[in-house]
Amino acid sequence: MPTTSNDPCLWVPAYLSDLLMPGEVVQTYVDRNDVALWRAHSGKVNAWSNRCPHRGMRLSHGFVRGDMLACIYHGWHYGSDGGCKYIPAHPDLEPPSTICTDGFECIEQDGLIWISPESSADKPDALPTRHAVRSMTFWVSKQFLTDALVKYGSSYLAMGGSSAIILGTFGVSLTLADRTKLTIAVQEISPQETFLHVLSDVSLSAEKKTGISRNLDRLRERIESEDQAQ
Amino acid sequence: MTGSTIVDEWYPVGMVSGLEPETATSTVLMGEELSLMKETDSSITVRRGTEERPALVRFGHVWTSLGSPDHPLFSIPEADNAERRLVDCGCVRVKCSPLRAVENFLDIAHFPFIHTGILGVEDHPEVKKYDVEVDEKLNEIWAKKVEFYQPQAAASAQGGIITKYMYRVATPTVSILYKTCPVRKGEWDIITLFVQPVAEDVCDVWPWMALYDDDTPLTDLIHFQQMIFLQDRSILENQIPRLLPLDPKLEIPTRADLTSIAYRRWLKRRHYTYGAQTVAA
Repeated sequence: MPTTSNDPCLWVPAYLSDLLMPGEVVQTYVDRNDVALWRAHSGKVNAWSNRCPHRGMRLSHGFVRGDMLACIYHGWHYGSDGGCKYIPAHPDLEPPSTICTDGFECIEQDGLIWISPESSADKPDALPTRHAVRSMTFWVSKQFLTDALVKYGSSYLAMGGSSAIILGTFGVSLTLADRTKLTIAVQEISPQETFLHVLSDVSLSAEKKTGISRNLDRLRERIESEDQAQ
Repeated sequence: MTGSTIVDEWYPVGMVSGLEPETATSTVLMGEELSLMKETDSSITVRRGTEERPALVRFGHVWTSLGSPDHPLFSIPEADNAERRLVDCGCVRVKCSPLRAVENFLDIAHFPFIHTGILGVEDHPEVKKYDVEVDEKLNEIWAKKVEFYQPQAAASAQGGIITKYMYRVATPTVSILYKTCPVRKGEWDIITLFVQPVAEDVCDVWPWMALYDDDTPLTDLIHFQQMIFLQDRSILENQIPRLLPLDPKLEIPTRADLTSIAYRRWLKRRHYTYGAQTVAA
């Protein structure tokens, strides 16, 4: 079943695992929700609504200290459970448990960080790929991008292979001429902006990654120019 | 005084020193296009289309109103002291609610994180208890006995000092800060934040100062304030929602936010809703 931008997806592929380092925080979007995604120094990944409960500041501008994320505005520290642990303006105060960020379900699987806007029991479907190739932005809608990938993604990316593109709820998958399997996971950012995360089943040489990357750039040019022509 | 509505308030719309003689300067106040003009006799007029609006020239700026103010402009008696240096700091356009800009100005707890090494350091983040009251006669908010450790409190400061602050909210978009003068004991430097609401979520911020500082070059004074306000802008353009929530359940304050709590209550009580979010989105 193809997903459309109108249907809320249960699990959204939001980041390539290898690209989010311990101590890093980034901004992303899940079903139009502004999300702060961060990795603690312990390795644990958290996805929270991107606003500090204190004064609404985007937490993605904050900084990671150990296993806590601190808001850049007043330095309020939040632990992995979302609860506020430290308010610098009042160093002796134990913050009440009511001060808490809004969390999203978040798991790492097959080289991707997946976020769900709903607390769901089922994990995303398993994929045969887990090695990061690259992420990139396409300035078209998710539906337009998905349709275009199905239509001629294979001719741009398969490098002479004859494999067809297979559509899944996460995006598409295909096999290159040398039998390398690729996953292209698709994430809606806004009605005009879509992220695409590309992974492979085996670790690729730098040369091979560059080749795939160039093909992706050519594909992007074609898809974006077609969108403008409409 | 408590009956003043949003349109009947006085608002800053430009710097007097920025006006060229007999040349119209256009600006926007709460979505309305205005034209400022320095006439041949040096008087200043403000027009909306062909209609003349009230115009005052005070504290280096032009003040006007879209309605009929039933009260004079607030006063800053210290500004008339000839020994003080009056400094126009220009304008910073910020894509945020004018009320968020004022609230940020009233906040000291962010100094160690946003103005690091200048107005605060992370080793001294504590905000001690201070007093906040509403002056019912003037309908102004006053925060007193505010103290904070600052490594470089002003352009003229030599090293770190415990700076004393008093904050005054004179109108919903005007705040005046009285702060320890680094070079003249027992005196207060004055730094104001005059906010021009352009739209509910866009404002022009006009900082202005009345200081005891004869030595620091003018460009250094202006650069210092511009640096501070540009640091603040990185916050103000990233707060969600962009409007200031007046529902106390939407954002959680702490003791350090007493001035902000008083400010939000005061806005709510006088039904000042321009730039405010009154119901949860």
